[in-house]
Amino acid sequence: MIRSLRFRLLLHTSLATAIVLGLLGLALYFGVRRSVEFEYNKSLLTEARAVAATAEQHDQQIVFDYAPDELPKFVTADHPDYFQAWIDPDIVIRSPSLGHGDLPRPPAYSGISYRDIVLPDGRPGRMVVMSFTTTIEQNATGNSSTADSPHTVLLSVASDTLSMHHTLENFRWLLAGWCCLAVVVCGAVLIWIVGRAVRPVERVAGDIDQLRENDLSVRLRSGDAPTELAPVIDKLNGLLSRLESAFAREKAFAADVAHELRNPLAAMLTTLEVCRSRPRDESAYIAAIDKSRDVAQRMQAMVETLLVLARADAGQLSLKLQNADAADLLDVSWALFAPRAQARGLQLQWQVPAPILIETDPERLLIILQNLFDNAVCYANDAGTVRVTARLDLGRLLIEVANTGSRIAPGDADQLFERFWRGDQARTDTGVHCGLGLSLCQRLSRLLNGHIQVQTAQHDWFIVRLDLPAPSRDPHPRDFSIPASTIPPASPATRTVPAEPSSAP
Amino acid sequence: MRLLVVEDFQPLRESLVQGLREAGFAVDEATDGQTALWHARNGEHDVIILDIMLPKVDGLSVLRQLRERNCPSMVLFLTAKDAPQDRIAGLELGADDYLVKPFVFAELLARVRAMIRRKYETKATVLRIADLEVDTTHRVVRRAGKAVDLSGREYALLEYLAHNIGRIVSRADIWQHVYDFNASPESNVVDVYIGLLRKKIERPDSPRLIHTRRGQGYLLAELEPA
Repeated sequence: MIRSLRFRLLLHTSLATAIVLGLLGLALYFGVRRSVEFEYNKSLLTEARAVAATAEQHDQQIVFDYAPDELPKFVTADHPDYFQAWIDPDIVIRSPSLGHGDLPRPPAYSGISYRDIVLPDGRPGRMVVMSFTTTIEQNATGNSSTADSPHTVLLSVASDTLSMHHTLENFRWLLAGWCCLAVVVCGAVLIWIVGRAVRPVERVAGDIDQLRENDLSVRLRSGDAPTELAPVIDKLNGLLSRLESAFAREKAFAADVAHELRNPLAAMLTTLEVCRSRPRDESAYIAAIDKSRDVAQRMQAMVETLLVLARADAGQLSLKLQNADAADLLDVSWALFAPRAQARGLQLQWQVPAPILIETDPERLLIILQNLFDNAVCYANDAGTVRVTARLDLGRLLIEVANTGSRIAPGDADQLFERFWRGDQARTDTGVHCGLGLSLCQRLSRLLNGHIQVQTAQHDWFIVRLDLPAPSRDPHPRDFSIPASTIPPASPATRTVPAEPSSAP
Repeated sequence: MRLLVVEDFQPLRESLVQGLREAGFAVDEATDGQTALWHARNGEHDVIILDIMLPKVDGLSVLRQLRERNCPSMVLFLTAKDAPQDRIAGLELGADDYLVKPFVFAELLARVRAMIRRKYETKATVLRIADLEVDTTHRVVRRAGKAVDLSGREYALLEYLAHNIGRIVSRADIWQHVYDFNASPESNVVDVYIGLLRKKIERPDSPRLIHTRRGQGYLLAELEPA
């Protein structure tokens, strides 16, 4: 729950809304209270001034001359207001409502001041303290007494604050109520907003949930997705595309394997069935058995090539580095194809200095070389040329195997390394060349930390360049060995040469 | 009956041709689409067994061109492509049958024979005329209930005539449908085999079935005595 995006969004936005609403409520309350108190103080001061206005001085005598109905609040017995005046230090007057009671005596006068007090009848109240100077009443003759001098009178007026407190309390409750209601309404609105905001995430999750491993062509809809989600959708769609093409490659690969195995299987079965269909002499049986074995060996070669490729894909191919003479490896490999090259009337240009001492895995290098020679001898034009060159250059061994009669389009150079790719897509050449050789060479040369590339642009030459690291640690090889003819291409001695060479490997 | 086997994988092609010849068919072979089109230019093959993935011109294109030329040959695709869309594409282009590799050779033979029956619009596997029976499945011939021992070529000739009962077939037709290209069509091979066949088939106590139509060819039919 706590990990839910919707919950987190709701929690945080609700908390923020509640805090903001609370702070606003408090600010509003204190603002209103201040203004109510200001108005209350103003009316209290007005009242005090009205009392002060009734004060008159007659011959040192201070008289507050007012009729009870002029200041009725100070006369009534029911919730009265109070005033009291001092001419320091004597009390000059008390309001009738005070009786013999006293208002708290203010300290020395220092401007108009307000203080909260408890009224004599126990109610909470507020008192304003002010001072005024008496006006001297003129006598009948119109002359004022010389002995008269104005007095400064300290006047306190107090009134109860019950109604103000009541109003403020009402306002407080009202405000709190509104705040709570606002929080609830905001909460509801937030739930709706968050729901809408989270909907694209839920939709994407739903889309992902709909994905099935047997149909990876589906893509997530970016539609109305927020910009924050768009990169996620893009990345997921990219991943889906890669997965789809990987699955498609696997599927095509499996189909290709099945296809490539069906042809030799059909040949074997037909050969055996036809042979078995009637009694024959011994030589006919031997011929059928030999033919079936030949086809089986081709299948074996293909299966083993596929196995090496699969192990290379899975990173399970190990490397056994040792000192070797690359020139010798080239010689040994070529020896397997020399009879076929001769039979086809091919010219050989051999530009290999000896020895070429390097540290490599001779077994893997032999497979590469045999595949390259096999292709060159097979696809060179009749009476064409095969050229083999090798040289050491700055710690690299550069081997070039080239043949004339190339019909590979320059644009196809990259595809040559794809499994089961053939220059002539309709051509099967089953069991002879099924389009795995160069793919295998590429994997193995990578394993040897080298790389292989194809050049087709030079007239009708088809050139394969093999570039391998060639650190030679020991100029006198001690552990020099060449494994017996290895793995694919299957025993070339039993290989048939197509009547019409094509340029495709 | 004359067949054309188009297959680029040599071991398979060799075995197919051997098996079909031993089954009594005249068989031509081609290793690529271009050669196949050249062989099939006259439409003399009763059945063409065609691979799809072929060098130069693929099998589907070969079939398309054959159908554009109104080639009457029946076509059976023999291919490693087993996906339904491949079969559909082949059949919709005008193939008459589709067999996926690897296959049982006997099934291929049965399908080829069925296609030949379809081509000559005969549903029965045993062709009958008067008291002559030609069992095309078991390649057995009987006259008046007695088995007649025929060589492969004699049987092939009789079967071709039997598929065309009541129709005159020319020497050239017989040549094209029955024999391989190892003798020239101008030679009298056909006449020689007709003679051999007559000796074995015709009985003095039964009506003559193989008739010569001068300048036209031969006819297998039970004719009313003139």
